[in-house]
Amino acid sequence: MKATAAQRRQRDARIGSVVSLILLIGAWQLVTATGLVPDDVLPQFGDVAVTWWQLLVSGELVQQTASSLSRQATGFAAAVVCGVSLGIVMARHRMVDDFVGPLTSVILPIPKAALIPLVMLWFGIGDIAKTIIVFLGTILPILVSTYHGAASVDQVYLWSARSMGDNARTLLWRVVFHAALPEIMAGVRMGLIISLIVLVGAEMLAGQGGLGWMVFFTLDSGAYRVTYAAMLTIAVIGYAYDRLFLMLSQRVLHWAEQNP
Amino acid sequence: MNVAAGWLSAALWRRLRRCYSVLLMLAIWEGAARSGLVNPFLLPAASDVLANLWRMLTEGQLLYHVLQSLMRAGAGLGLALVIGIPLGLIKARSRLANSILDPILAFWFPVPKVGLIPMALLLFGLGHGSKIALVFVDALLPLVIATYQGALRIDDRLVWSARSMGDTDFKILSRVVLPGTLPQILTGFRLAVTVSLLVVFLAEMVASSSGLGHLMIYALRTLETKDVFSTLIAMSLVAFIADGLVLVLRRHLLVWYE
Amino acid sequence: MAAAPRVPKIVLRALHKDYDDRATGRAVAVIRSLDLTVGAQEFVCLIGPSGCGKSTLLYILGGFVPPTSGEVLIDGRPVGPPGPDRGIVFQEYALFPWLTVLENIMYGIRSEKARGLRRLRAEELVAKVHLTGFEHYYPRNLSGGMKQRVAIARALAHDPDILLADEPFGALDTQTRSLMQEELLRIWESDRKTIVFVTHSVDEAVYLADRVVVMTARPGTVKADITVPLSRPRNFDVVMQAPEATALRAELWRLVKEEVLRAGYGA
Repeated sequence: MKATAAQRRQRDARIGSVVSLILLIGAWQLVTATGLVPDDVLPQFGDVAVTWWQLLVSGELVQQTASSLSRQATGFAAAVVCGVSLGIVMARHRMVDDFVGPLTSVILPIPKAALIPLVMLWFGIGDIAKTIIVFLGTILPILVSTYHGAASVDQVYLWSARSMGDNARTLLWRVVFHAALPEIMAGVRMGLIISLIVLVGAEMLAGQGGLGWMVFFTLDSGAYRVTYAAMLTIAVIGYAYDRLFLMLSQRVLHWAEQNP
Repeated sequence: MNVAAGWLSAALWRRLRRCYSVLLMLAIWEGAARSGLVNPFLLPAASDVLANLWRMLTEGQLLYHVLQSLMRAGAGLGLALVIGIPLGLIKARSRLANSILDPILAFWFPVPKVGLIPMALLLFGLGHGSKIALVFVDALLPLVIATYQGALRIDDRLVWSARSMGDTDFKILSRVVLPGTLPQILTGFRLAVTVSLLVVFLAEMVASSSGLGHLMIYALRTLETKDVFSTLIAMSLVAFIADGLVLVLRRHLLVWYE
Repeated sequence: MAAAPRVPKIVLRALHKDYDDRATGRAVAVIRSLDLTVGAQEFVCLIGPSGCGKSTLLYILGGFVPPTSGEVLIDGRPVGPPGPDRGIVFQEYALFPWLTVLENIMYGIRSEKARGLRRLRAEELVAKVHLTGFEHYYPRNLSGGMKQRVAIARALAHDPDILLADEPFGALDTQTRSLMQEELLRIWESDRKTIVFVTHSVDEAVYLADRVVVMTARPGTVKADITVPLSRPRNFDVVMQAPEATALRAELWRLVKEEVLRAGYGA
């Protein structure tokens, strides 16, 4: 009984996706074809699709995407490692928490976008600067989620583990980390989404290649079809990346209670 | 008595423990900048930055730009509230709406909508419109999702009681559903506020002639480092105060909840 | 009672425990002037009204919570931090949800270095608690009774001298609870550990224990310490009908009820 309900929901979701996609493209076509929106502001979907294909085949799109993703991946990976480790240690060692905690509270309200010009000032406009921007923007939500998850681990888990012979160190990585994992994964997902936002923003502002640069540069030069093709690529990559992450999350957290 | 003295220093000690690192960092900042250890161009002294901030506030146009940013963010947020909350409620109420809206939301949620800046610029020009549109698009999703989840959680029995007492649909909506959804909506609203400010600042950095974002990028391009730092502090203060206001609003509206 | 004059397994002398009440800022006495002795391989049940400190007493024995003052001796030595010499079973099972049944039990086995040997020993324990076939299940797919059996097996995995149980069957339905009680006795008969068992149920205490200790309302101390005059092995139906058992149950309930009323119905 339960299997069919879930299957039905999945099937509905898939049909819904197709319907929405058709609706969106249909609306796009409608708006452009009827002249509601002029062609130079919003090119027809067909034209954009063709341009997108051309960019793909010529290798331009791949190159720019690779540029963007490499910066994002490095910064993001570093942020995950540092954020999770620090968050767990902070949650269970008062002294570390006392030092890092207040600093985090002060930095937390800073809008991540504000960091971009600052990092550009210090590190220029190259790959390193962008990686650092991604790192700084991403580490905070991951740290906060991890900290919260690690701090709220049920006491009975810790006590059971200690009575079975765990010391403080093994406790952290064998119990606290796993118990906090659901919340950590949620925070990392948010971090992923934020990392793409700051990356695209940084590329728009600092240039030097990448999808964000591509979108903005072609805007200046008037090659709007390329602009939209690049925007679409950003959208698809954002979506795909998140999907992949959710699938990974499912695997990693296969043991967790399903929340309705 | 000794007990009282002990208690006093314990509280003080705790307070100190919680903020010494910030004070330490500030001291290091000031010391490193003033001593010439670090290039004062890259890192102006904290006191200079604060003085500069004051100057920008009193002599410069800081307030004007702050209001520009706030106005755009506010307009976008307002639109997002007006459209997002009803959408969320509809999504919770109608299976059909849900199956159509859900994939759209699921698709757009992880997409960095700042990538749409060019489109916004093309459609709405360089002025307020593009920024408001971007804020709207970014703030909409968290609000819809939060409203939806909040509305789902409402106990059916509350609705049934109201209906059996003869309440009309509209009354049920305003008296039962909305108040019940309020906690979730406010949580989503808090997130939406943060996102709005982020997006408006970023959009202003990319293409604008006013607003805090513009101010910051202008300072960067003209190499006025102190202005960059001061603007950063200004942005943080704005974000901090906005978040604080949301929390106050939350506490005020949800007196019954907690 | 055993005549051999050995050092008792557990000795509590003049135990005091205060908690800081965060609301008022003052210290609240949870346990006061408590004296208790538990002999090796004895099964002792602690009963009393809610808030009387019986769980706290267990946590002090486990080394999770320090006493405010008084002596807590295990094998004649002051109690230390939690360790493999004392196993603990909680009402909420506390199974690690990210590990399978087998892995949960293996977690406790520290005596074997080789993973294969640990696995073997864990499988033995799985069989001991009648969960063969469920080794690779995750806790979320187990019923309450099954989870508790895994918890017991895990607590036994590191071969502790003392087993501490904090209302382990409290969350189970009546039928499962009876079955689990029998199960626990069966396991205990085959490998007698010292057990300190906290429960709300007078019936459970009479069925399981050698001795039942009744605690007063907060601040808790020993109100009564009664030996259970029933021989082992105990068959549930026979035992519970026996006149000694009925009399004891009535007496215990009278004592507990006094304390419950004194505490104001579990305020």
